[in-house]
Amino acid sequence: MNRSKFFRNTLILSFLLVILVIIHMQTGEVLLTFSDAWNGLFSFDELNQSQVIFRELRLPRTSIAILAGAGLSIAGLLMQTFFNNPLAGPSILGISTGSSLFVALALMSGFSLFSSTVGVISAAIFGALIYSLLLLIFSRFVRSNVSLLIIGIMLGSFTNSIIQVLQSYTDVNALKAFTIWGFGSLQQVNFNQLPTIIFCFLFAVLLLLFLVKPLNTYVLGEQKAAILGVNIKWVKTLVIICVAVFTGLITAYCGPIAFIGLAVPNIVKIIFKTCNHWILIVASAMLGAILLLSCDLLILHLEAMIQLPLNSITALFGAPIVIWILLKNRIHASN
Amino acid sequence: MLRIEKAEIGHRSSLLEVQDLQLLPGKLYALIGRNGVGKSTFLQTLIGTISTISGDVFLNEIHVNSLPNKSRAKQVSFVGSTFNGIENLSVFDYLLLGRVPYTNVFGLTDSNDKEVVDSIIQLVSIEFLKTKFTNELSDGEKQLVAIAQALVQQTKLVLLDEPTAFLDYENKWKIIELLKKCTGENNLCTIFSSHDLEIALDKADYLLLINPITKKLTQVATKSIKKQEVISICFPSL
Repeated sequence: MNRSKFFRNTLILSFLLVILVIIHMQTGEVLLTFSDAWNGLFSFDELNQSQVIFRELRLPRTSIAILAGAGLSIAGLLMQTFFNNPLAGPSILGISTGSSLFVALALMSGFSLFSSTVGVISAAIFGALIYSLLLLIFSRFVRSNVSLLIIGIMLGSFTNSIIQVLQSYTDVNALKAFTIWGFGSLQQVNFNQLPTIIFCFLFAVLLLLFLVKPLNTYVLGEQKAAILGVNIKWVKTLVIICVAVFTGLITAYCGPIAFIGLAVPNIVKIIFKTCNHWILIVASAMLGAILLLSCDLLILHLEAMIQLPLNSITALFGAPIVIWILLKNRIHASN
Repeated sequence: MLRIEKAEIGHRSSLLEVQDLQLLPGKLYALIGRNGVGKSTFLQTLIGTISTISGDVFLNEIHVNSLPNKSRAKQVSFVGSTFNGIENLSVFDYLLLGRVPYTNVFGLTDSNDKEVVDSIIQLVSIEFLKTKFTNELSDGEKQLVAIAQALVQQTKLVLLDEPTAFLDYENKWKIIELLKKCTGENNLCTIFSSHDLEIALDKADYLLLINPITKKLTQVATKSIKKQEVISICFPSL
C-alpha cells in the first residue's frame, strides 16, 4: 500500500472516530455543552445536572466503548499473528470465557476481597492468563488452523458448562447479575473506575510497543522469526500478558464481548493490505472503537423499543466474517 | 569461517558424525545425501537451533550456542525449501524484514536499510517484483525472493535447505548460478543441500557427502570426484 492511500484511510478512520465519539456522547435526553464536559472533569459541581450526566453516565460509557473496542481488536490481532491463524480471537478461542469463569468464581466466592473491584479485575486477568497458557500448550500439539479453532471452541463450551453448574448453586440475585453481565454491556462502568481501567490499558499498550518488531517477523512463521534473531520465549511471555490484560480488563467490566477481536483485524487487513504491525495495531484500535461505538449507538437508539444485548449486535457483524474467511481459505486450498 | 570439531549431530540420538571440518569464505558447498540422513538437522545445527549431542561448532571462532540470537542473526542466514508467500506482504517489505537483526527495539528501518534492500534487488535482478505481493509470485520467483532476503541479512554464512527442490530445470540452474555469483562477489560461505547431482558437481566448489551406512560426513573438492563416486558414497544401495 502506498503512503497516500495509507494516510487517506487513516484520516477517514480518525474522522469517523471523532464524529462517533461526539454523537455517542450526545445521545440521550440532555444535550451537553463543551463547558459541561470541561467543568465535569476539572471543577465538578454535584448540583449541576448536565455535569453529573456527563461525568457519571456519558463519559464512562463512551470511554469504555472506545477502550473495549480498541483493546479487544488489538488482542485479536496479536493472537492472529502469534498463532498464524486469521480465525483467532479472544472470544472465539475461549479466553473471554476463561476470564468469565474466574469472575464468576470471584463474585460467588462470598469473600469481599475477591468481589471488590480490584479482586474482580485481578480474577478476570488471571483467568485470561491461564486460558492463554492453555491455548499455547495445545497449539504445540496441533498443526492445523481449524484444529486450534475447534480446541478453542471446546474449551469455551466446557468452561461455559462449569459456569452454568456454578450458577445453579448461587442465589437468584447473583445469578441475575451474572446473566446480565454475560450479555455484554457498556453500562457497568462508573467515573471512579476509569483511572484504574485506563492505567491497566496503558500498561498493556506499553508492552505492545516492544511487540511490534517481533510480530512483524512472526508473519513469516516462528522458525523464521527465530532465525532473524527474535527471542521467542520473551515474545511468547509478552503476547500472553498483553492479551490477558486487554481481554481480562474488558471482560471484567463489560462481560465477554464476542467477535470484535476476531472481525476487526481481518477487516483492517483487507482495507490496509499490509503486514506492518505499526499500521495494523493503530488501525485495528481505531476501527474496533468505531465498531463498538456504532453497536452501542444502535442499542441506545433502540432502547425505547427493545433491550438488545451487546453481544447479539457484535455477532451480527462478526459471524458473517468468520464464514467468509473459512470460505475464502477453502477456495484458496482448492486452487 | 565455520569450524566443526568431532561433532555428533541429531535431535536426541546421534544421526550423523562430523570429524574435523573447516569451511572457508568465498566457497560454495553442496550437501548431498539420502532422504532422512540428517541434512536438515546438520544445517539447523549450524544455525544453532539444534544443539550438537557432543562436539562443538564454531562460527568465526565463537561457539555457536554461546552467541545471542541477535548477533547470530547477523552471521548466519537460512533459506528453507519452500516459501509460500504471505498475503498482503509486498516483496519490498518482505526483503526489508531481512534487516531485523540490525534495527532497534521498535524495528524502525532507516534509509541505509532501504539502500541495502535496493542493492540486493539489483544484484538478484528482481526489480520487476518489488511492489508485487509475495503470495502472487511463481515458485521460482518465491525462491529468488527468499534468497534475496537472506542476502539482505548480510551474513557471511548462508545456509539453504534444498533451494531447488520445487523448481523446474531452468530455475534450478538459475538459482544455483545466482548463489555462485553472490558467494564469489561477497566472499560468502554458502552451503546448500540438494538432490541435483549434476548441478552440484558443476557449480559447487566442494561437496559435503553423507554416507548413510557409516553415518559420516566427508568433504571432497568437486574437481577431484566423479558422479559415479558420489553415488557410491551417498547412495550405496544403488
